[in-house]
Amino acid sequence: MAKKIPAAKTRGKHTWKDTKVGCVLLEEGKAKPFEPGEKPLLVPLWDKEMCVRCGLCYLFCPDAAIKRSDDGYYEATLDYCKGCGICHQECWFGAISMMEEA
Amino acid sequence: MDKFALYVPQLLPFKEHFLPEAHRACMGCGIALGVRQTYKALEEKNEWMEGAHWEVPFKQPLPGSLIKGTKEVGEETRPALLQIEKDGQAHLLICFDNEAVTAKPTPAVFKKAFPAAAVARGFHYVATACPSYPFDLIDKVRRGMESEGNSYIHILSPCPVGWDFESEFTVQIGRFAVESAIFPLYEVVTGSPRLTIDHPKIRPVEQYIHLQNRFNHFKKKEILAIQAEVDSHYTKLQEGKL
Repeated sequence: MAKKIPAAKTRGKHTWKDTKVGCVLLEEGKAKPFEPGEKPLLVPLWDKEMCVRCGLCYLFCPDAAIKRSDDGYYEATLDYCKGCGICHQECWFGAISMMEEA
Repeated sequence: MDKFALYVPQLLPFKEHFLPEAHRACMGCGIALGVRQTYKALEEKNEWMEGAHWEVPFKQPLPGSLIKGTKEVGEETRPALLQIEKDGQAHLLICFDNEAVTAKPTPAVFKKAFPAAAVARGFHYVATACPSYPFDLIDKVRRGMESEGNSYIHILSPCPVGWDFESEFTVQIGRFAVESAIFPLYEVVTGSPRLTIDHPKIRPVEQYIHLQNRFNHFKKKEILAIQAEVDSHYTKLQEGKL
């Protein structure tokens, strides 16, 4: 089993003096307190007339950004979407287009 | 009931355990996709999730061109390994293989030695899977957890950074790898392999190789040699030999 490194007790008091050479991260879960990612360039948009609600986009999203809304259609949470375009490529019905965010 | 509820992806649990804020994968990461589908297979039973830990945690593999000039050139690249404890002493070992190499890739990257080695070591259930075939992958993970004794699953996960292709083709490239028989999907239960996905018409290897820029230095002779090797391996698998 891999060695478990204890989480930092002094999170928040961390200054540049404490960073290791090469800015190596030695602790786990460093990304958790932050909002994930900057906003992507292109964002998936669903055309509700062509969408048949099959859920393939939801299944192939690596970041778990696509969620099912109450009416059965799918939507992307833009906080998590990185704009990779897999959903656009994999949609059988061409219902998803990658657009610049308005 | 809504007639649209009949599509198969909607039969899977909608709850996420592989949270997007917990990882720092690049966009279109094949490993993140594979891990998410694996967790989807496991999340039915909570005891399974508790016993999961990373033997070798997954990190972003650097392609040869990026590493040049740093100290990491000589470093061996190891694929990520996820180990899940079953009841008793047995465990399920899942390898997320992104074919990371520090130098220029050679035809040797297509050879997968791990599944055969696992069979030789006496693992009870050995399988290969790809996130482009999600239900196949989920089935195999569940079967690996339910079988007695140790089991091993080898998952091919395309890497847009290391393999040098556009991030939207991650799933398509995995599908091409299976359709061109470079990475056949099979499972070994009682010593002899059984192909779980057997395409009637196999693609030429050339199509798979030309989708990625990491093989730009391959010449026609090399591609023909790869084709011959892949064909012989695939006919062996069809006959039930590993």
